[in-house]
Amino acid sequence: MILVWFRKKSTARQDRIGTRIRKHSAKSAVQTLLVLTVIFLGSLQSAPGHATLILGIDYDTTAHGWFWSGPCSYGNGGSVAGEITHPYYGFDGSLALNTREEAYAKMLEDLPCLDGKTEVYLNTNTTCTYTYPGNFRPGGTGDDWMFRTGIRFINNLGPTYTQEYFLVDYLYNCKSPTWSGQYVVLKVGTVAGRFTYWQSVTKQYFIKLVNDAGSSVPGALADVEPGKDVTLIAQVFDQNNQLVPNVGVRIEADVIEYSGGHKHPNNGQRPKGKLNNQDPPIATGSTGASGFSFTFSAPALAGDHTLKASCTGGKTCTQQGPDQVWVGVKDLVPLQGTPLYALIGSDTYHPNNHYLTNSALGQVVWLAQLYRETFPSDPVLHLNDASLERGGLFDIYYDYVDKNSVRHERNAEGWWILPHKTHREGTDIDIRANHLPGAIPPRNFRKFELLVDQIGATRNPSRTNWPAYIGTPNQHYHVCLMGGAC
Amino acid sequence: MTTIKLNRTFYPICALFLLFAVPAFAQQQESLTYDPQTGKYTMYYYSNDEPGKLERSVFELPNKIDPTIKSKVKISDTGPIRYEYKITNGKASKQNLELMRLWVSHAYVSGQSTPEGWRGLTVPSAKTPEVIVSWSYWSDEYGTGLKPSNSQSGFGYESRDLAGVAIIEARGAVMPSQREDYTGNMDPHADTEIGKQYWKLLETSEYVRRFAAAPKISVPDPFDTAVVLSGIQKHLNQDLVFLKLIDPVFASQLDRLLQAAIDAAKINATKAVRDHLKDLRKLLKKEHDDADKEDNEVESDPEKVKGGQVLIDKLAAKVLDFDFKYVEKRLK
Repeated sequence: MILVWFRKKSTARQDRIGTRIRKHSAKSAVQTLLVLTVIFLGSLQSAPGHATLILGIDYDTTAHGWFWSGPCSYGNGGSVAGEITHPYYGFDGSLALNTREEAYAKMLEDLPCLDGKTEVYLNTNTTCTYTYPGNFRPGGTGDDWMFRTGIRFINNLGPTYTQEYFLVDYLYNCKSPTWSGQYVVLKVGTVAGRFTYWQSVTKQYFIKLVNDAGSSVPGALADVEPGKDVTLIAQVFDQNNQLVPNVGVRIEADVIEYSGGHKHPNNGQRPKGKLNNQDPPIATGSTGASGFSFTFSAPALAGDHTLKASCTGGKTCTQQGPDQVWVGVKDLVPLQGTPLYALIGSDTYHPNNHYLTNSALGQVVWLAQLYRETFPSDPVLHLNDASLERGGLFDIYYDYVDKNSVRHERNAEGWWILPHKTHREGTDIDIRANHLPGAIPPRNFRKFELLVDQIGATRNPSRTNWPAYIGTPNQHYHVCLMGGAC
Repeated sequence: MTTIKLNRTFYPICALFLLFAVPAFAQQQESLTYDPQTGKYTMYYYSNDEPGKLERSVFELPNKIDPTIKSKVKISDTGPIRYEYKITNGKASKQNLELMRLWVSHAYVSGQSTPEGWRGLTVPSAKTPEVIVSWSYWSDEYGTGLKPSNSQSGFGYESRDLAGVAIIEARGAVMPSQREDYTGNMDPHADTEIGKQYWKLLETSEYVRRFAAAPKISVPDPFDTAVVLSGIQKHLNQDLVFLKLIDPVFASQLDRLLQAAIDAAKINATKAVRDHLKDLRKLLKKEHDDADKEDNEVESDPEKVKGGQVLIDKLAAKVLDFDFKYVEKRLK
């Protein structure tokens, strides 16, 4: 235990206390003593290797200040009158709980520098109904105790006069403290069953991201379709789960590599969602009265984003709750293998390229079945890219030579460019119609096109009698299974 | 003097600019225009693959047909309701008719009949809880189909559901595309301005629409008079009014009688239901004397309703009369 004795005599303070005492007890000598008790209770609460230092004020209303150092001992603080001179500061078993608020208000009045700063002040959640042990101090009746306030200095500063002066200056002279530690609240505890002390508890802050709309994706903060927005709220709470207003916060979004069906590296080029339309996706602001509202705008491609939330302005907040935004088209289902058709186009970078909505999937199965019935001697439809498992931008893995005879390689030049123009919502599919095995032969083109129209689907190009990319190795029918614009 | 010299130089430069630069600039715009001389559309749009490259598409819409559709509804020998159509590709048509399709509430796949040379299909609709019934001229050759002035009967199917008036879509056959008329790989994407115009044009004008009798009113099993009459009432108040096939005042007159019949059905007052149905049929017969005649083919003529010559379209009257007669029979 570390013991520090500090006494400060402040004329102004004495005047205030004196007035108060005169008002309540003419007999009492008007003396005020401020005791700063620094109790090192590392063994009680500290994490290994860290000390918990409590700098407390015994705001004694009796004639003398005093201090104590720990279990079973107490310091020599001088004489103690042992009488209650200002019961509204103290409380004991004889005082009703409802005097606590009154006493609290009075302390605020006497210590104006603390006004409103409940964070450094006695926490109103502190239980005040404890019975003060009678043997706590010599001659004391155990009936004149009072509030203590305290500020915890984080580690390694050590209890020095300088620090203590800081506190005193803060409380009595309204000087801003220069310490950088966290605030504390005080709670009642007992040591060895002998006496009651005020134990410091680090004031903890938690930042949580809230989505009023909720998410149907288990564990996700939000789900949003590619290219769409979702509004989220950052809120800061204390350890009692009470909303803390006006806290500066910072949110940063990042995208998880390999998510959304893209099994190729991000290479630092993967488009991320934006926060409040900012790129890079960082949003800052104050929580105000009810929270910091911000917008997450999903990129064109599906995948998981993490939102890292923190507090600014010297506050340390721990992020709690869901932090992932699920970007994608929900309820897409994969085409299963069947003799009705052949699935092609899968590669290691996009292994799952045959996802569709349920309705679109039904359409393609019909189309495949009708085609097979119509042309039983020809190969079944060879179904190439539909959508990725969550839809969104579908970049295509192929190295190509441009019109200037320059060879472009995906792994060298990056992904995400030259994607499919569509194939993002699970409603369209490419069907092989080139010179490769399994392709629809030109003699079947018209009937295939009629079948597309008869099931209510459309194709692109719509008004030609040939497939897309005619005359290229990429020649295929691009079929929009739900009909309409394709 | 200096000014004159400048002008002499300046005007020819301007003329050259107008001759070459302006038309070149004008071409670099996306556009969709219709040429009434050729009957074709010309669309310029930027390539999806090569930024800045303007593609050209010249195309003809398959809507140069003037079809008439005659519908016949009857209760088949085996129980279901049979729907039959005879289609005529009008004299004024410039294209052969190659495809027609309609969305109905229910159709039996096995009950579809298709004339020789056509391919009939009955498949579930992906967009609605309906069924698409369709026929296409089944040939490998582009441009083929039902020729102008020709008629074709034999299109039919069976359903458990009662008749309403539906829209049947018909499409003409265009001649094969020319490669030089289409420079791109694909049509413009629907999220571009030109793409929106193009796909909107197709949505509204690619098919010619006509009215036909088709299953639109669900018949529950077991039969429930009140439910079926409510279905007819809904079809009357929503579809027929929306399609302008009935005068709204006449519709409300029918609606009141229908409501009375529904209320009676709910308390099993069979005689009252029958009386109300008779009154309803009388009202229809007043407008169309042959509304109650069976086995005749009917063609819709909505213009007569628009012109105030009749209070209800003949096809709509025929369909409603059929439905009321059907309910009467089921009451027995």
